[in-house]
Amino acid sequence: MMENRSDKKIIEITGVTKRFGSFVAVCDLNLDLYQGEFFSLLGPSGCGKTTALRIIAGFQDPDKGEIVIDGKSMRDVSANKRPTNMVFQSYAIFPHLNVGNNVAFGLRKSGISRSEIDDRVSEALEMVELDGLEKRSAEELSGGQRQRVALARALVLRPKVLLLDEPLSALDKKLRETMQLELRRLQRSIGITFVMVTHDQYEAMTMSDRIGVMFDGKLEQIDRPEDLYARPCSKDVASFIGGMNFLPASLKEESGNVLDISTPGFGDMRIEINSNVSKHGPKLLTGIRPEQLEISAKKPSDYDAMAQGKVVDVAFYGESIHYFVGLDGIDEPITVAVPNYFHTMDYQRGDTVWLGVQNASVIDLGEIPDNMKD
Amino acid sequence: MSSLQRFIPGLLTYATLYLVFLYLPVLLLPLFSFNDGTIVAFPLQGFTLKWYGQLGQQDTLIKALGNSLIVGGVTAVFSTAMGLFAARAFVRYRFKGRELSEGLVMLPLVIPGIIVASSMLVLFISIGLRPSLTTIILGHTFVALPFAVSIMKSSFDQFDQSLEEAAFDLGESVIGTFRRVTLPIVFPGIVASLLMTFTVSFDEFVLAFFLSGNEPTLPVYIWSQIRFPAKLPNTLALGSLLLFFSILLLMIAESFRRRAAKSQI
Amino acid sequence: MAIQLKSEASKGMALSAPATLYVGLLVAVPLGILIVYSFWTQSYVDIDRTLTWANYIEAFQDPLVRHLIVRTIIIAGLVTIATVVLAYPIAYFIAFRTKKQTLWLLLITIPFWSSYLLRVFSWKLILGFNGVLNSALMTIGIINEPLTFLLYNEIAVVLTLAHAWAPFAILPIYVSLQKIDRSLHEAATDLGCNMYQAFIRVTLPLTVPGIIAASLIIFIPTVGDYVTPALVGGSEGKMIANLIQVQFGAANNWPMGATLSLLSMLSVGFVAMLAVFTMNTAGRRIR
Repeated sequence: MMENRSDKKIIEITGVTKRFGSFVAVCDLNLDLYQGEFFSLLGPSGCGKTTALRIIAGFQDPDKGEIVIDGKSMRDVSANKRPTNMVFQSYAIFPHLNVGNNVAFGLRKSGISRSEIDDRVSEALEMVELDGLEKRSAEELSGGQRQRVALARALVLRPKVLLLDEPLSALDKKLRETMQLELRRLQRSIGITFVMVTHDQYEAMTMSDRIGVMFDGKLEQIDRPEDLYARPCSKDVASFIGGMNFLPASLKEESGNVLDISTPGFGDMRIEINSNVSKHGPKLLTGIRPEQLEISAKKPSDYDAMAQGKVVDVAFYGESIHYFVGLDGIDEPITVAVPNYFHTMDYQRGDTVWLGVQNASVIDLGEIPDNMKD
Repeated sequence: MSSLQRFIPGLLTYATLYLVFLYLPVLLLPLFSFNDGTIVAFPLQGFTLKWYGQLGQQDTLIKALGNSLIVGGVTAVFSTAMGLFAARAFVRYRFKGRELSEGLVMLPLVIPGIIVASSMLVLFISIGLRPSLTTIILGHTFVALPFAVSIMKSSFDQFDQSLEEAAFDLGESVIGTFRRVTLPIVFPGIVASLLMTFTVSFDEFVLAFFLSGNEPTLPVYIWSQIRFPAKLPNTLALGSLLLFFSILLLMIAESFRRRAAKSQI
Repeated sequence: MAIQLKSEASKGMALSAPATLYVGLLVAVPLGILIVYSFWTQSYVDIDRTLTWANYIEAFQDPLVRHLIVRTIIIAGLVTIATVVLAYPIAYFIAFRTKKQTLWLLLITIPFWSSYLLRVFSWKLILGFNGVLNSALMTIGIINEPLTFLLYNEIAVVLTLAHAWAPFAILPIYVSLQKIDRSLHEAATDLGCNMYQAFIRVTLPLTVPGIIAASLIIFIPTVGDYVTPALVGGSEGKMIANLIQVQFGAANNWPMGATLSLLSMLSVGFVAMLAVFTMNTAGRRIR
């Protein structure tokens, strides 16, 4: 993916911790964000991502740690004095003001002339494709329009960083997909750093330069979307992003950056060490993405590892078909995703099939987590 | 669903009869206030406006009306101001004793009127406050406060907190945020509360009766007139006027309250 | 949050303090003074400040006081039952059987935006010997002599108050009906209940909180009601509030007035608690 970020750090977060009573919402967060990048904080609800965003915005003070924006410490700088602006989850469009006055809200302060305000408002509205709607009342706006007004209202102040709290969650699916691309395009064209909070993995992957995945207040992994998908650092991250078949394995030999392993079902394999994983042991966990498995009636010849099993279930998704295949020695059936090339469903429940996989498709997920040990 | 079908007309008939029961006494006063006769009985004697005409010549009535306007106005301002702050605290902040204090301010609604009245009379006399408009205002503020708090609470309830955060985020100060965002949005609620508490005070009788001394409010004046059959038609006319203005005021209050609720989606 | 400054709690307390203190003081202080007064005695024009149980003893021994308190509670109970029973179908109708809920709620509340005093007065005119009802019935020819049982008795008080408190019963019950998930009723029907069984076994128990709220809101002020018994109650319909008023007014015996206020408050509290307990138990008994 092409990146448009520079090497200049715009936000430096060091050791930020936030507690609510005994609940630790954010735990020792360390994160650097760069000028011009689109960064997403991704995680399940309650993982602390919104709290982290609100700490950057200045709505919440961290108990420990420091935030530096554009080289200046934000300690004792309140939200209204920070070079950040926010798009709220509810959009928070002022109901008593029309579109123009909503966008002009932050400009209506000392020093800016009326005509300049008008110019900047119409420029901002043009940017979000709402030109000429200044006089429209807030109550007449559709969901998508409200979002655009919220964007224009924040961007008109030319912030160093734009913060977006679940900006697309209030929209329906179709509109959400359109807005994903549009937001991305907008961010590229104006070059401001965007920090978005979302629980939607696809949203994060399609829009972001980098993604930080959060669980239970901790940042588990920060990476580009494609690296996150190819080399997740843990089982949690792997299962949160995309589908994944988990296979326990035992380590036979470790040499250089290669592991020789033995798995139930697929037998012996030689896989590459995943540099994002912190710990290896005699018992390993590996993962295979469903779309990287081959399924066929006859034994395939050109695969590094093969296994025979029985189709236990079939699910039709339209663009793809998922076959769930039971293998001897593995509790959970293996999911295989096959693109729907020819409008045919080749296998039925009960069919005996062969699965094939290349060594390169098997992801090393490190030492097996405690809850998966026997 | 045949039993349901039979059920509906039954309930509708009952509901209609109930409405007649509710409106009968209310509509009776205006009806007989235009009746050209001194006793309130059928058949009606003919149409007249003279009972209304005579109202303007009664000095004690005018005085009582003035008293009621003063008491109602001051009560409305006091109770709405306290209600505004309290409602804001209840809806927005989490603090120790919040539930207790939320319950406490609603207490005046459920204390029997005679007990409020007698205990306040005893209190005011004990601290050397003679019965006067001041004591009525103090008492009415007490009684009107739950109304103000609940109206202001519903006004703040649907107020999206991120609106204030948005204003703050866009560079506005705390005071500026209150002035440019909070106040305009809860303004209809404030008007509704002022009108409602004014009406509560304007119609209140028992407290005023105990605490008024020799400065009667309008209901106390009406009470004194009820005993004289000769004054009956005038009382009816006065009552009808009050009825009309009370309903008018509260309709306006209601429309403001609705506007307050609507604008906060 | 920075906008909330350092202590959210202290801000909340400061903002709510005026209202809380105002109500708190105006409840606690007069109550304290009332208690003190009840232990003093009236001797002619002066108040004897020696503490004594004399008022309480006198109140308990006086058959009139006993009688009035018992009658007040009975009347208040009747008013509560009558109002709730009359109001429940209306609340049910508005909640489930009409699409114009807002209009009906408005229609129900409009009459109560008028002066309470005038509404009671109007009932006096309706029920009187030469009143509206009698004259109307005589004009149509249904009766020849005015009916005398209409005014100046308990029935008149109950009727007038059932009218006066109507929205206080309808609104809480309506709210509790509104909260009921419609599918619960359908589930009961699906499980074999007919309409009335579904109502008795599902809807009614779920509205017990609303009924309790309505009952308290009606019962408590009724006990302290002064206007209605004075205007339409006659000597048969007099209630304890009228006696209290006499003590503070014509009889000028404030210590006795204070004693009676406290006694009626205590009995209200006791009866109300008993009633809430009974209704809660009854609600839970339904299976």
